[in-house]
Amino acid sequence: MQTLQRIFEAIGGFPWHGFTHGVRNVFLFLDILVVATFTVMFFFAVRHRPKFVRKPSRPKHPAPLEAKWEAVRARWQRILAKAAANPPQSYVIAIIEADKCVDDVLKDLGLSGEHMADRLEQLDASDFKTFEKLWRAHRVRNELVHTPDFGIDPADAKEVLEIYEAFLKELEML
Amino acid sequence: MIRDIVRHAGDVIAELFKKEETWFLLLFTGLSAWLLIAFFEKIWAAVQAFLLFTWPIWLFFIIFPVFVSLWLYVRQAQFKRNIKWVILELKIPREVRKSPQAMEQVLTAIHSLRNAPGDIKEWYWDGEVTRWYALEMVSFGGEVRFFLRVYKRQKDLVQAAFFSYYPDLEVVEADDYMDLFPKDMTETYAKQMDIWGTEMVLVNEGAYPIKTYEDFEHMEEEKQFDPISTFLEVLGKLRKEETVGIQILIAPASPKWRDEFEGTVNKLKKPATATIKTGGTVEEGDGTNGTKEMLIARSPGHIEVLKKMEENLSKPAFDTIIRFIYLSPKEGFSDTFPRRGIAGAFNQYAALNLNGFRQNHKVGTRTRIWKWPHIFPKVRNEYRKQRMLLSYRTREVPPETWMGRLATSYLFNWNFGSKRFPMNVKCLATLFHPPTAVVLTAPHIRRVESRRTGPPAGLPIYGEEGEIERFT
Repeated sequence: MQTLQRIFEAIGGFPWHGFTHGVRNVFLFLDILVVATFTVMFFFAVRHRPKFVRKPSRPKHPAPLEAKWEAVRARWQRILAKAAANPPQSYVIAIIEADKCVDDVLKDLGLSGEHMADRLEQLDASDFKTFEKLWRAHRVRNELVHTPDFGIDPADAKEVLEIYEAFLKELEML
Repeated sequence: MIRDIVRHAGDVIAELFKKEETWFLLLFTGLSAWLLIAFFEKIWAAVQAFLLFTWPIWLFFIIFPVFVSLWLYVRQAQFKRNIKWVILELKIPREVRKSPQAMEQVLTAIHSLRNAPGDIKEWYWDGEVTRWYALEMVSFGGEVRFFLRVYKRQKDLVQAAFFSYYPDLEVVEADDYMDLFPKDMTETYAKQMDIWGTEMVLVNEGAYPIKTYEDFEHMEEEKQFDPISTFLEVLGKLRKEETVGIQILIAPASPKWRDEFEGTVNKLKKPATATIKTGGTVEEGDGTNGTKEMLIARSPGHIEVLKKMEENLSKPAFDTIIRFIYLSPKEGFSDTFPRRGIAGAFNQYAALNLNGFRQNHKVGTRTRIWKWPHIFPKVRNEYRKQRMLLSYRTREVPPETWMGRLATSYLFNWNFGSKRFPMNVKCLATLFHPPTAVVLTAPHIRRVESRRTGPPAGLPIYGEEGEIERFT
């Protein structure tokens, strides 16, 4: 009985008021802490958020060809560098690549066909000053590719490369 | 997600209102509440005072879990961002004489590289997540190439795992082809291109396996198939300007992954019974109500399913995401190709009694006014495309935390749709393995034309650096 009484006294004697307020204040403090950290973390979270837009712009027309011509210019510089690397063998490779470069340009201009010859046939000879020469250059290239042991004089090779360059210049790409 | 909850809640409520106990209960609660408020305003005032006094405590218990969720998301996002990756390309030899079982062993080896947060610091401060691997089959205009993305420090281990099972396979570091992809939709449109993508998820629970390579194998040569060949053929059909990437993201799952499905297995294990009439009646009081439950034999199909499921659960698994993306110039863009063709290639793994794949329509870039949530299908589609492209490019797995999902959501694009599911090593090996000799005909793969053999014995490979003779 006495023990029970003592327990009751202990409970009654406990400073309940102070205790509950203490607990309340601790939680109040924790709340503020959590909200504050939450706000900080929120800004970090925003940083990791993927950036999407409601309506990505959809250009109706293809990007201007200017960028493409830029690429052609860079390509031509590379071809020239390659040609100069190890003459006379490097001229052969350079001619083949120059031909490919011109062919790609013709494709970009919207000319269709299986071979470069098909594309060239669609062009009007009278529109280009270098057109006849281009045909000749292309034939030289074909000889190089298809005929075994076809040798080419470095001077001739240089001239062929110049023809390709002249054609690109006439197209105002270089 | 919200729709599911609402629908589910609706079902539950409708079910409840069918029971008369509910009506009684409602009546009593209503009455007592009215009594409380009307007659015991004092009690109400006391409750108010109590709430007023203790609100910091309640508030704490509400906002703390939300806060922890956000904290985890941010730490995990930072952890993910700091992982250093490396891209490996699998160069397939002319002939692979290994069954996909070899790939299963490779994957088991990769599974053992698993990392997982172990203590409080790793969980909450480091924000550690299980590092995942990317297995990719990419077709560049019809030429199929195989890529892996692995954690940089594990590169040697993954290479070793491949080398020990596929000695002829070359696993070499490669440039990330993602650099060739448009960065976002604005760039895609500027290039006059468009994308289509979706994710594949399992039809049934993860406990059920898909058809595995064993189902495609046979002793007789005319019955040997390799499911990869379908993918190679479909991917090989691409036109020159098109690109298709199939991405399988796998994160080693905990060895306890099977525990989740214990209930499913037990349900299947339950003996089959049938109720039969015994002839007795209730009045006779034999306690059988005139019927009796009797054990009957399981059907062979049932046993088969149980067998396959238990076998499936016996192997280590990966948390998996499968997504694919189709990138093509607008001219000639046809979403039928990926939607039907590639999804169809996934269909060959389906067994109706077991498992299969279906498109995850919550993330796929196909929105319809007829489909939930009906409004603004075009805007939602734009968002989905952007998210799909971003996820594919960054090989991203969705955040694990709820707040993370919320924080990465947009009003018209909630990031709750993407779902990871467990797949064991065997199923994954079926999905992704170096094409076996059966598909030798496919001319669409870049192959290595040489064979490798071991070095001659007796080379001075064990010794100090200086002792080794070098060709200089």
